[in-house]
Amino acid sequence: MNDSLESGSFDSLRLELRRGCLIVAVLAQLREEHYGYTLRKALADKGLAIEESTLYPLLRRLETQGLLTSEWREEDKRKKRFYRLSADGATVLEQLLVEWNGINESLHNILKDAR
Amino acid sequence: MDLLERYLQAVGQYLPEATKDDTLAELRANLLEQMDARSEELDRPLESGDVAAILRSHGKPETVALRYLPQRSLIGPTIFPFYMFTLRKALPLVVLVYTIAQGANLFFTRTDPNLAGRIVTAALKLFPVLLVFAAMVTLTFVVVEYIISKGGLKDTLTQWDPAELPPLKKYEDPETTKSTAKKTVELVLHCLWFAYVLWAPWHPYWILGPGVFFFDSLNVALAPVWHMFYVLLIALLVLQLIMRLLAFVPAAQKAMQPMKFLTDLLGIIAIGWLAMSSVYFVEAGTGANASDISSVNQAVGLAFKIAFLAALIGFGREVWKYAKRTKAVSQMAF
Repeated sequence: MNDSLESGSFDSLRLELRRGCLIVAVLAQLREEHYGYTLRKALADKGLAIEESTLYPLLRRLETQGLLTSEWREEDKRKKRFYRLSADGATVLEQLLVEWNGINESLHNILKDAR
Repeated sequence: MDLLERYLQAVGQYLPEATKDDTLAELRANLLEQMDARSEELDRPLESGDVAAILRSHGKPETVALRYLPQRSLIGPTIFPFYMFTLRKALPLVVLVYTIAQGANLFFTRTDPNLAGRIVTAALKLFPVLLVFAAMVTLTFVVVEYIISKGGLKDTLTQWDPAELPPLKKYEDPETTKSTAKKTVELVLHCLWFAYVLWAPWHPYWILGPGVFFFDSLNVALAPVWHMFYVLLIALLVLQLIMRLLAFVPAAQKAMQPMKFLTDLLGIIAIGWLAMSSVYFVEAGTGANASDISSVNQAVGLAFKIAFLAALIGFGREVWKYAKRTKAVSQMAF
């Protein structure tokens, strides 16, 4: 495999792998209330850097799906939109975590067998 | 802050009116927060270069706006394979129907002096026809995608019965699966045809029938190009005779396909020989119309060139099919 193809394939596979994980991470982090900027910072502090142009539209989509709720509020003399996990979001997050743990365990077993 | 407002204006151009103000207000708040943090980090007010760097890293306005729009595709991944399958299967049929229709049209107006020009025009018009057809198929699938996105056709896409799958296709070489009776009939017919080809040139009546007297009256003779063609034709018939005989020998079945390619190739060479020539009929005495002969030569030459091209394409297709079959068999073996 040549370098450019390898890098192109890796980028695209990495993107696919991260897509689902990011949603779980965002939902989990929003068990506490955050606005866009602090959410991004909180995720980055825990090792999951995410671009603003990816995170902010994602928040909108999750809200449209009823998994998040939001409200405009003033903080430090500036109006900000705060997001929080909705009741439906909490249920979905629990289900996704069960799924995630299952996948994680299976993958761990597969990798262990392959060694 | 002028740069930030210009950035938000650029993003807003692509956002839907209903959610534009809300989205931009949120984006503004987040970007201001980011700028405050950067200013704190640098321990000084931000300069225009710092603001530009933050906006640049946030993304191009069009790209940022597009991420806020609902993700749509004209033809989604569920029906895309059907779309490609339809195009792949239907386009050759369109080419066939078009060729037949244009061929019939040209045949009935073959006396037109600008026949060659009309053939070229007909060939060039094929591309817009194909484009329109592809556009119609695409449009149909866009409608189907829309129906699916609204929850329709769910059953059609998910419910199926494995028992209705077609039986397994097994390739059988038509040459090796022929019955002995069929092989015998083919051999006898070939021998008769061979004898006729050997005998007929010295008995023109058996080629043209009563038309031979009319041909004589035109004072026209066959050009030397036919002599070489005749030699090639005899060689081709000899090869085919060998093939017909080998068809009865089970051990020789492996050699059939290469021999078939050889005879096809010889046939193409024979047609190519005629296609390369420009003189097929020559004057054989006084009274012949040179202009008529020239027109006939031109028309016959064009016909042979088309036949040569068709034969080449046909041969290429056969070789490709054979290579594909051979590859499939070798892959099965491993």
